[in-house]
Amino acid sequence: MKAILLTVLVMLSACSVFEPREPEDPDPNPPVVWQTPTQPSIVISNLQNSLNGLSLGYYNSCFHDDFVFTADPLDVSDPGFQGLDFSDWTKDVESQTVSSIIYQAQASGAPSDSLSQAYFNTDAQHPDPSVPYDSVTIYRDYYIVAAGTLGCGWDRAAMGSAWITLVADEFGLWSIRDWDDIRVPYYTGDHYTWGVAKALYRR
Amino acid sequence: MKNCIPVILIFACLLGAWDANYNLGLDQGRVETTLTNSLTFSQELSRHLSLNGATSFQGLRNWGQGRFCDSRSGRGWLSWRPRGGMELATTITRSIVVDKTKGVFTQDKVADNAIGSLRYAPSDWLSMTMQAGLHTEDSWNASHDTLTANDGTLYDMSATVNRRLFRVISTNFSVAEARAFGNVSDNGRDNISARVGYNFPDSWNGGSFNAEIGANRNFLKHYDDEYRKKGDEWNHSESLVLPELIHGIFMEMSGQWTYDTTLYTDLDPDSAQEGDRRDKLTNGRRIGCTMVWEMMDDLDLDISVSRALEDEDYKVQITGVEDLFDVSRKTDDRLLSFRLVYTPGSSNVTFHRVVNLYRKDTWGTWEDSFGNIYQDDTDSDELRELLGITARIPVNDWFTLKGEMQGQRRETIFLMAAMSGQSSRSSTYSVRPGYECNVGSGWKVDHAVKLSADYTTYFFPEYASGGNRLSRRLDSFFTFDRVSSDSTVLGIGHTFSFRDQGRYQNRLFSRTYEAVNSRLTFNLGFHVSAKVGITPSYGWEYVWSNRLDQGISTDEHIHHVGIRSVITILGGVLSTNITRTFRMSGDPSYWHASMNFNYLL
Repeated sequence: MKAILLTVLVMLSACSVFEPREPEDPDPNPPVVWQTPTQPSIVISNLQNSLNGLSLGYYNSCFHDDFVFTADPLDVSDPGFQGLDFSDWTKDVESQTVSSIIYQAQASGAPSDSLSQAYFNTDAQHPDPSVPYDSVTIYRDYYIVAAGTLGCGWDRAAMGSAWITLVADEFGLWSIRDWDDIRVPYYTGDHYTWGVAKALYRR
Repeated sequence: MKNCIPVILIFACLLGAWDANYNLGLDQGRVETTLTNSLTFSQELSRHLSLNGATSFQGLRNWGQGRFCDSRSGRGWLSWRPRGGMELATTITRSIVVDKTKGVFTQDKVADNAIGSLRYAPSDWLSMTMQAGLHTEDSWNASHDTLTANDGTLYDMSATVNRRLFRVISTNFSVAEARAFGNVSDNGRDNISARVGYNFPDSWNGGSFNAEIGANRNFLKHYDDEYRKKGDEWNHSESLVLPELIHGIFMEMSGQWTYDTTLYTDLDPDSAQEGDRRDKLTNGRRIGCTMVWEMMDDLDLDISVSRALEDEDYKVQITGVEDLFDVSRKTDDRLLSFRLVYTPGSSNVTFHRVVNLYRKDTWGTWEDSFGNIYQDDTDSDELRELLGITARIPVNDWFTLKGEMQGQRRETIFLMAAMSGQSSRSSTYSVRPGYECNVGSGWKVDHAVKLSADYTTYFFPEYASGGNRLSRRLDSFFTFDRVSSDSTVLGIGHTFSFRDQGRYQNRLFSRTYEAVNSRLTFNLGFHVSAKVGITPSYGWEYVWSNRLDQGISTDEHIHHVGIRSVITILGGVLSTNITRTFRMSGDPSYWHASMNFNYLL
């Protein structure tokens, strides 16, 4: 019995090896206005704000661990993008490509208020479903600029649409699980999709 | 190939004994519909000769992207085993992919393979595999006016030697080499590995030592894009199982190391750049120890501790700057877990505790053409502590109590000032009592209720927009049914869930959201005959949500109608499952269907 009690006491304790580190004091002017993602629309708003604030950490926080990005098949088969890899696009790939875009924009030399711009707009023809409980698929038109980047600079903003599937966790916090990318209608090549803009930076 | 399949099937039917399996599935969602079909069969033509086939079809319709993809594949192989330890086989494979988006062919590809193979194991310590063949792949471009062909040869060889030395040392050595040559690209891989194991003498009461070392190399040379991708991986692992030095205590220690590089080489002779922005080097190490202590006849304790470190070195390229910058990401995963299992009689009580710390750091800086220096600001620590108890206690032959109680603490700490304002601590508590009751004649009641709450506080509340947050949840799971051996179900089921959330400040809970989901399901299974079981089902689902902070309340009724059947026919079993969801909100309704036919004669 003593052995059991001793074991339970040992189990309850945890040593300093598992102590997390102290965070720095927060930036008094944080680059991103972040809201707790208790609704799908807040996730999209956070996504937009994280791109506008060029914050990789906040951007990553919008995505589910099982995130999958599906590029527009017209981009995948486009001879102009033959060297680009759109396959097996997970959250890690999303983070890596967007980090490169953010680094590029930060180092572009553009004025601080012109480093990036992102909009995600609803479309009247594709309204959001009325009662999202734990999963929802919504449609958004997007416009994304990151200064000095290859595929979404000020001279060539990334434009397109997306079917975005969001899921809620056990306690109602939402994140993006799937993103089906779509070219703009009457695509001319003047504006790449977000998928191409990111794939240009894939390692 | 497509025309051959019916001929092969008819031929196979005429010959008598064969084994077949057919699957069909239909899955429909708001954006995508998928239809899949697959058939496999195997025919023993004689004691030494067998004919096998596999074919599949997948149709995918993505309404969102305006895409339709038709993928088909077929594979047939004839296997001849002239003597024990030897197998000769001929395999032909064809795959066709036609992918169209908004009327444009995005993929139109036909690939064929013909391979001959020999598997030879002259003794129980040596086995070899050799295969060689031809491959061809024809693909049309988007405008369907240019056909690109990638034709070539391929081979694959491997050998494995297993030897036992001095009765206590086991060894294993294997090598493999595979190549595929074509006029568009070449690719290949080489593997070599060696393993040695030593079992301690019987007088030591068990114990063993195992060590393994391996190396892999793979490459891809692409002629069109003038680059070569090369990957090398080295790894070794060791494990030591200690003898039972103290009665009832067993211990295992293990270590592992991997070194993985991916390098790109520009084949353009004029290229002067050193390195490539896609180059990557990963170095991983792991050590772990597990101890099992049989404290009493009905009491076991498992303790395991491990640490895994990974360094990933990569490059950052900045436009306007000639050099590539070396950056690395380091992760440190520390885990400690205890598990105490008490099994008096047929009861089972498990007490468990897990402590896990995951650290992520980035190292290195990069510089723009103006001299400004940047670094990654996503360093973080994540601590998870869990304490729980689960129990399953049969009170008598027909009544079983079940229970689960758990407390969990998660700390997510963003170390750098840019994000540290979002560092938070979540405490989650849950309790789930339940019972199972066998009422007789196959009828069973299964009921559980789960109550859980999550309270999240922020390290710097003044920087957290929503303030401290409380979420609560109640879930109930109930079934009263009778399940036949062929899965025909008669009974009812009910799941209910209520959750709410809001701000919790100064002991005041301001709710911002509440939601209810309730689903009642009736399964009306019956048997038409001993061989035919049918389960019609109807489910009524009610979903309600109320955004208290915005004064928006919505609800919806969803009806789920379905039928499942299990039919024993022609010596095989045909299972089907079809459901249709009807939404009353005006949103589209969907079909889900699956079918499986297993035939063995």
